[in-house]
Order: sequence, then C-alpha cells, then structure tokens
Amino acid sequence: MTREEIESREDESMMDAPQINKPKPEEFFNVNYLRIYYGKSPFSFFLTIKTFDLLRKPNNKYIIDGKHPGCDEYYFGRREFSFTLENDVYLRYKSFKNASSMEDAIRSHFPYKIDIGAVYSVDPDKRHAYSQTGSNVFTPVERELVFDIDITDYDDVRYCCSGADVCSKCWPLMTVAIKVIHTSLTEDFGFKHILWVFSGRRGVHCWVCDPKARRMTNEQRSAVAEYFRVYKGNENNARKVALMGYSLHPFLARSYVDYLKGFFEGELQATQSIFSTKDKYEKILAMISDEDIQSELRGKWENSARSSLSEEAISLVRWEQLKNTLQSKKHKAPTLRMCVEEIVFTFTYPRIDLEVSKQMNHLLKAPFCVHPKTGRVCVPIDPNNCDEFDPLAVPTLSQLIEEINSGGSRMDVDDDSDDSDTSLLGKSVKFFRSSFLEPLLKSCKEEIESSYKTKIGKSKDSLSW
Amino acid sequence: MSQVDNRNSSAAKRARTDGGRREDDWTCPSCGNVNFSFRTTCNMRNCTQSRPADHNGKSAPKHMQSPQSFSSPGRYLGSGGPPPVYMGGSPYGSSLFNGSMPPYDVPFSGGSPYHFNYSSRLPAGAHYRPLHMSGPPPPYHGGSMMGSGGMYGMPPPPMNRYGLGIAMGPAAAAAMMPRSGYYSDEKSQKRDSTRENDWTCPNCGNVNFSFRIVCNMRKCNTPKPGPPQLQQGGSSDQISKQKAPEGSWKCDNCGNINYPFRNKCNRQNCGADKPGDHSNESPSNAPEENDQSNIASGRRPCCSGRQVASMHLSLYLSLVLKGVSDGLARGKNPKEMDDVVDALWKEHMRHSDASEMLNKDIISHFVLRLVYCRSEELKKWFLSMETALFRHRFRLQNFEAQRAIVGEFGLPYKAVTGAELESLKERLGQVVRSLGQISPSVEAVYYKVPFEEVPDLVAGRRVLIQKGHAFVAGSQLVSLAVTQFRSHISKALILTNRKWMTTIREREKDRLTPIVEALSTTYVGPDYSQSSEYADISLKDIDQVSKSSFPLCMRHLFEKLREDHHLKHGGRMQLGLFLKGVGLKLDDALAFWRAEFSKKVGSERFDKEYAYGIRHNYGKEGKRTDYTPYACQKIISSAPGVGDHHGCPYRHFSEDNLRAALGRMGLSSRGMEDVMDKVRNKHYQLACTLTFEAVYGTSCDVGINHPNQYFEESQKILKSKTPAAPV
Repeated sequence: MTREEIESREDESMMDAPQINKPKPEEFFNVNYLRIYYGKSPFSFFLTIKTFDLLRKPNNKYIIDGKHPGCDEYYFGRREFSFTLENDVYLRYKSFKNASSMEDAIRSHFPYKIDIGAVYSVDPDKRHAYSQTGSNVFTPVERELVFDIDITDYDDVRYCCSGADVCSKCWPLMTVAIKVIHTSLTEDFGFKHILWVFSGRRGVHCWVCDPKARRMTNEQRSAVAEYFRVYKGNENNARKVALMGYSLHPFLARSYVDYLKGFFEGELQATQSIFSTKDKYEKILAMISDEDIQSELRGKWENSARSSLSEEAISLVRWEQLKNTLQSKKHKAPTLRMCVEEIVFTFTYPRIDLEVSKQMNHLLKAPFCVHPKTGRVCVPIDPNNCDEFDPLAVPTLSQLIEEINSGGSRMDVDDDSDDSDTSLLGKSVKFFRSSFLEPLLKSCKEEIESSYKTKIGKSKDSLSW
Repeated sequence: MSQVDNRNSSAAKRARTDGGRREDDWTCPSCGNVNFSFRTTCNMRNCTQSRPADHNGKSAPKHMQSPQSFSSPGRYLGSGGPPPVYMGGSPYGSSLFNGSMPPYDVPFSGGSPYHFNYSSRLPAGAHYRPLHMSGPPPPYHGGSMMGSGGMYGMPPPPMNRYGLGIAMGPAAAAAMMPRSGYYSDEKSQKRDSTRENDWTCPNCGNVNFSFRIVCNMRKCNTPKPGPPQLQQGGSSDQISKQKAPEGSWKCDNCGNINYPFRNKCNRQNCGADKPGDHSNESPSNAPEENDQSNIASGRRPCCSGRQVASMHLSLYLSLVLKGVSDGLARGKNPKEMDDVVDALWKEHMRHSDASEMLNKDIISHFVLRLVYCRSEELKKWFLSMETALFRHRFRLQNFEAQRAIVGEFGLPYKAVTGAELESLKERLGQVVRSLGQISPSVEAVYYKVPFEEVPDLVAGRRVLIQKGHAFVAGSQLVSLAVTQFRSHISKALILTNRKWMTTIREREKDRLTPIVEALSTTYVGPDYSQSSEYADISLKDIDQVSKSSFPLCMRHLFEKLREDHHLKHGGRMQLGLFLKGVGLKLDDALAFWRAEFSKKVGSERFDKEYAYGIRHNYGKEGKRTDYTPYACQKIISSAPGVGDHHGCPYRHFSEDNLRAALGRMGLSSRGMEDVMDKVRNKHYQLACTLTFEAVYGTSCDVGINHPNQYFEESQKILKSKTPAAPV
C-alpha cells in the first residue's frame, strides 16, 4: 500500500526531472499561497472538502443538522485521510472526529496534498490500540470505487508529449477514456453517482459513490476493473491488445462503435498522424501477426514516402490501405480476424491504473486539492461535456491568489450565492454541487430513511412476535 | 466472557500505549511524529526535522489514547448493530454473547452458517455426493444441540459432548454455541429470556451468564453478588448430577466440576490443580515434542482415540486440497482440473459406506477449518482450495443436480423469460460469440443476478451486464454457487478465528492447540522467506550467480536493471524479494539497488524514495511484514503494463522476444522448440522446467514452482558438478 503510493509519487517526480526549461514550480505553488488557499477560504476549499467528504457519506448531513436516529455519527471519524507535507513527509492514517477538527489540522499542517482513503472498522488514528487484541479488527469496510487514468500510460501512442506533460493534442485521449468508462459505469453497472476529477496534471480520477459501489469487496472491485481491462501490453510484446473470439463483447462493441472508431479515424489521426512516418507505422505493423501482410504494406508505404500530401492525409490513406488489406485477407488466419479492432483499441481504449481500483485501502487525492507540481486545482469534469474541458485552462493557485488580492471573489463559505459564477473556481464548485453532491445527498437521505424504517419495522415485528 | 477478555487485553494495551510516550519524548513540529527523547532529528521518513528546543511544550493529541477512544466504537456497534462486514461480530465479539442480540442481525441469528441444510435434507447416498455446504449434523452428534454449534462457524465437536474426542470443556463449548442450546435439558430456546442461574448486576442491572464471576457490562466489572463459592458450587453440583461423567472432579478453589481428563481446573481465571493429582506427567511439556507421526499414531497421552481418528480423517482432506493446490500451481486448465479432483477424491475420500463418507467429509472439513482459521495466509489458502474443490465437484454434477444445489442456497434469482429475454437475445449472442463460439447459440435459461454475485464472470467479460444486473447462463451456474459457497466459508472462518483467538486457543492449549498448529505447518509448501543453505550470496558474486542460476524471469529483470538503472514497482518487488530469498542481506540489497538507481536518479533520491521500499520488503518498515518471494503462480498471473519488465517471460513475452531470450540462455534450437511447444499450450511452468533441464542437462522431476526453487535446484547441480570450487 504504502509502497504503491511511493511508486506513484516517484513516477511523478521522475517525469519532472528533465523539464528544466519550465518555470519553477514555486511560481505556481508555494506554501504561502497554500496558506491562503486553506486559510482564508474565500473560495471555500473547506466547503468543498467538507461537502465532498462529509456529506458524501450517508449521514453527514445529519451530523450537522442534528439527529436523524438512523445515522451513524462515527462514520466520518473512521475515514482515513493522509497528508503529504513539505519534503514528501507523508502522514497516513489520520482521522478526524468532525469537520472542524479536520479544518484545524489542515490549517496547522498545510499539507501539499490530501488523500482520501477508506472508511475503516475502527478509527484509523487509534488503530494501534486495537492491533494487539489478536483478531484483525482494523480493516477497511467501505470505500468509493475509484479509477485512475494517467496520460503517462499512453506514452507509446502519443507523439506530441511524453511523461507528465499534457497538451491539447493528447488530452482528447483522456476525454475518450472518460466517455467510455462513464458510459459503462452508468449503462452496464447501473451506477448513478459518479464524479470525474482532473488530477491536477496528467490524468483524471473517477469516484463512484453509490452505496452499492462503496460496499464492494476487493474481489468485486477487481472484477469491475478487469471488466474494463483490454490493454495488456508490456515491454516485451508488440501486440498489446489481444481480442479473442468471433465478436466483441457488447460493452466493447458499444465503446468501439460509439466512441473509439470515430475518435481514431478523426481526431487521433489529425493530432498524432499515427501512420505518417516509418517509426510510427512500424509499430502498427508489428501488431499484425501475419508477415506477408506486414511486408506487403511496408512495401506500399515505403514507396509512397515522398508524397506531397500532409501528414494527416498520408496517415489516413495508409489506414484505409491497411483496413482493406486486412479485410481481404480476413479468413486467412484466426489471429487476423480482429486485427483492425485491436489496432484501434491499442491506440484509444482507456488505460486504467488497475491497482488503484482493486484494493479498498488505496488512497486517492481529494478533489479541489492543488497539485504540488503544477499548482492547478483538481476540479471536477462534467462527463457529459468533457470535450470542452481544457486541462491547461484550469485555474492555478497563483491565479486564485491574484483573484483574492484584487478583491474579485466574494464567495462565502457557507452559502452558495449566485455571484460565485464569476470567480475562477465558481463554476466548478457550482457544477460539483448541483450535479453531483445534491443528487447524492438526496439518495443518501432516502437510503438512510428507508433503512431506518425497515429497522424500526423489524424491531416492531420481533417485539410483537 | 470474551468481552471481558478483550477488554482486559485492550486495556492493557492502552496502558502500554500511554506509557509508550514518555515525558521526554518530543513531538516533531513539522509532521507531528512523536520521537523518542534520545533522537535529535525526527524519525518520520523524509522529515528529519531537527529537534526543537522546547520539545516538551507541545504534545500530539493523536498519540494520547483517551478513554473515549474505546467507548466510541463500542457505542457505535452497540447501538447501530454490527456493520455489515463484520457479520455479526464486533471487535469485542460482544453482540454474540450478551444475550440481547439485535433483532435485525439476520444472517447469523439462527440455523447453520449456510442457509441450506443440504445433507440433512437429502438421504445419504443420493445421486450426488456430499459437498461441504452441509450444515453439521453427522449421526453421532448429540442431537440438535451440537447441530447448533455450527451456528457461529465453529466446527461442531464431532464427538459426544462428554469431553471425549475433540470435545471442548464446557466453557469452551459454551463459547462456541449459543448458550441456550448447550444444556439439552433446558427447554428455553429464546435468546432473550433470562435463565435460571443468570444473575443481575446490582450495580448496572446487566443480566450476566451464570458462569461469569464479574459483571460483563463494559466498564462495570462488579463482582457477582452473594457468596460466589456457594452459588457456584450449587449450580455446578446441579449440573454434575445431571451430566458430569464418572471420574469428574470438583475444584477445591472455585467449585467447578471438571471432566475426568483435566489436570487443572477449567474455569477461566482459576486453573487450580486437580486435588490429589500431582503426577509428574505435565501435559504442557508434551505438545512441543509432538511431531506429525505422533499425532497420526495417537501416542499423545491426552489424545483419545476419537480425537486421533478425526485428526486422521482431516489428513485425507488435506491431501486432496494439497493436490488441488498443486494442480492449480501447474497451470492446469479447468478440464484437467476436473480430472485431477475426481482422481484425488476417489483416492482419499471414498468410502464404501456413503454415510461414512459423508462423515469423513464433514469432520475433516471442520477440523481443517479450525486448523486454517488462524492466520490470514492460512485462511486464504484454505478458502481458495476449498472453493476450487467445490467448483470442480460442482462441475462434475449434471445440470439438474446443479440446480438442486443452487436451490439449496435459497437464491432468489429467477430465470429471465419472455419479452425481456427476446430483447436481450442479440447481445447475449454477442457475448457467446466473443467467448469463441462461432454459432451464436443462446442458451435457453438465463438468470438475472446483481453483478456483484458473479465477480469471476464479470472480470472475464463472460456475461452481459446491464444496469447493474448480470445475465448468467445456465451453464455458468457454477459461478453463482461458488460465490455463495466462498462467502459462507469465509464468514465462518472469520468467526472461527475470532473464537479461536479469544477463547479456545488458550483454553485448549494443552490439548487441541498443539495438534491444530502442527497440522497446518505440515502442509504448507517450503518457505522461501528464509534463505536456504545453498543461498547466501554476496554482492560481489551476484552478477556471476545471476548468469548461472537465475531463472529467465529474474535474469531478465536483472539485465534490465543493469541496462536501464531503473525498474518499476512490479519489477522491484519481484526481483527484490527473489534476491532476499536467495540470501541477499538487507545491507547488501540496499547497496545493490543504490548502485544501480543512483546512476539514473542520484543516490539522494534513492535514499529518499526507494530505500524505504526495500527496507519494507525486509520487514523493516510499515507494518513490518517479512514478505515472501513471489511464487510462479503469482508471477504468471501478474499483469505487467507499460514500462514493466516483471511477470513470467514464458507468458508475457512475445514469441520472438522469448526465443531471443532463450537463445541468450544457451538453448539449442531443439530444446527451444520443446519449450515453445509448452508455451503455446500455456504450460508456462513446464516450459520453465524444460528450460532448466536444457540448461543444466539433467532432469528436473519436481517441476519448477518457484523462482527460488529454480535457483536452489541449479545451485545444487552446480555444486555437485564442482565440489571443490566454491560458488
């Protein structure tokens, strides 16, 4: 667990090393800014942290206004948080009795990063007190189903950037990923409360907060994660996606028809021109397991190298050639049957970091945190309008500070006044509230009430019996 | 009773924790870590803040254990009922025993841990063989009272209740069973009624069981009112008149009536010696010297014949499970596994008398539950092996029998019919075709179940999922049954474990505990977390040894590390743990990894970011688990992604890359063809074994199951070839 965490941080920082020409991170991010961000809270970091995590849980609304008898007032106290402080000092298993004690802790530590973990069976802060009673009492009991997609994992199919860099040319890969996964989560698995969040630099996080999802076991989480797994590539095998069988599974077929195919032939060709040079198309040829076809296509393409067409046009022409060739030889070998689909999937299908989803105790950065390297705020993404999201337009900490200094923002912490729209974060906060938080709260309320009613009903029954 | 125990131990722990922070300790101003007084810099990883001058001033509240910390979870559990994951048990185990079970605590409020009581409803010798799903009523159990012992997932004592066989003492038995079921002459079965000898605490009003000597209410602990000696004696006498067997003895100290075989009083907190019995034979010495043969042949002084017999029976099931485990480790496909299971079952479990076979099955299963409930690792192994066994036995049944078994689970799922089925036909056909069947023959029967119920089908995309429901074909019924079976056993194991840890282990420390402990250790594979005699490599020969003795997977990782001076997490784990198993000491390991990584990231970043992980592997950080090196099974099933080099080369390399890699190992073209043949048939471990044989020119009969085993076998061969030269 801890080590996975290290892994992710290490990769991030590793990717950073070579970018010397970039502005120093301090310009985007420094502790003093953070102090203001956490401390003055004119744009309600706490509102969001609080609302996201306190209110996300079934009962928290009731903690605040009091006393629904069916609510579990210790739920929040058993939620694990972790803080990453300056110099990568890493504090795990922090828990807070209530929102104000969490607020105090944040203001005294100024964490660079706040992660949200699972809800445990006992208060994580006091886990040692239970550790020697012999049985394994300290175990995670509830956890949102989370997904983490990083653009870094697409390095072999994007030619504009690499590592942690993102530009408007490769971000569409993320957009497609959001669409594919979001559709499946709602259509196939029937989840309703799904939050997509920009991770601050190079990817997106997804939180599925339905009660059913929160209570899934590790095994069930793995099952869902595996359901999404198509890409099995590793460094020692050129064919990264292997589709067996005579047709695509309905989920894959829908993804292919609705999203992937169009994206591959349209936007991806336009931005990445994946067939335009020898280096690029050799990679694709390696995915075709038939050597005759490989050499046939290679011959065609090498000869046509000096064409006057644009890169994109060349790429499109070659893709048509490849499709036609494969189509005509379809029945030659069983491994060629799905070859066209395999290539499309290799380039466009979401590459989820599965380990994050599989274990309940995995931590994930809280929404509305500030990414320490870019200074960008982790704002929610609307999955229905994700095409419009621009990662480079996300407000940075320094911009927010500027806004405060100029007195432009008058957002209040406790009520969502209408002028919030005008501030930098206002739109995100509003979206977060109206399309995620409020429906979730409503359904949680209903859930609590109905379960409380059945409890009452049951105890009445048993009494009379 | 367990509540008292637990509170005591946690109270003791609390005292320790509180005492753990001494006056001179100081709190890091940067990260809040509490450091020992002798430290001058903060001990938190990556912090190293130096000690502030006024270190006594500030204390970290999170390290001070306030009494509230114990009341809060308790209150939570008490008022709201146990959380779902706990399956009716609380950390204190209280709600099971305090007589006031919440009315909505459904799953375990009655009957066996399974909803179905399969074996009792079917005549023995029915056309399908007994499975472990049954509730526990073998013939010689003392009627319903023992049957209810299964309620909390404990093995029912398979013998009669007078303490022969593995029977527990009365208190242990009481711990395993609902108290109302224990005294067979007691008619009152109602859970919430107060029984005759129960007593009411004068202080808090809690009704306590008769055997308690202090009030069981948390934080109360008021002693039982009245002259305890007299009252205890009275009630025990009453019991003894009814059911104490001949030769029972009464404790001079507390008046408890003990079974004849006891040398010490069985009452908790008493433990007085049997009066007039000061024989030299001390039972507590015996267990340590007991080995497997002793257990099997029953030479143990305090084992009765029956106990031995049931332990003996359990060995057969152990053998079957071990066989299943071997089969899986060799990567057999489901069809082959069916044959393996069938053969194993016939060999070990078959009995001419069907009811005897049923008994054998049940007894051995419950004994093994006790054996394997004791640690996470054992539990996991037992669970997966029993599940595998169940899966294959289920598959061997015909469809009607399968449906009958699923019916026994009482699953509420209905077959999809009519218009709904029609509307799904096309997509169901797509699923079938995607699984490799040319003709889309949609099956006749589909069940609509929540997708969580069939995780294996979901993971393999072998079902259609729509709006949270999976459509399971009739031929996939096994997945549904397996999930149910697995969750039942898993819950039962957790509860058994809790009882074992809190009460039974201590109580049975002279009799059952040693046997149980011996049984599990006998049947786990070799442990590679400790380096063996052949191993113990040092830094300077690591390169040479890697060429001579590493299996392909490790050799590849090793070369990549040398080449790139970096490995991603999966690779560091796989290679790092292997090297640990091979005998690389922690200091050497750190030096080794540092030497490579510092070429890429600099030694400072290595110390900051990677050294922790290596120390973690050696059990020096975090939760301090001494991690075991990965076995082939785990490596084969891993899923290396972009930039990863770990995994099993035979499985994860493309054919060209594998050929090239084998060529570098010096395989001849003929040997290579043999290996590739195995790879094509997905026998990755056999491929590795063949590689081993080709490289060293000897046969390897045992097969390769573990990279460290490969290493050891190769070291054996190399040493025997050059006896004089040290490797």
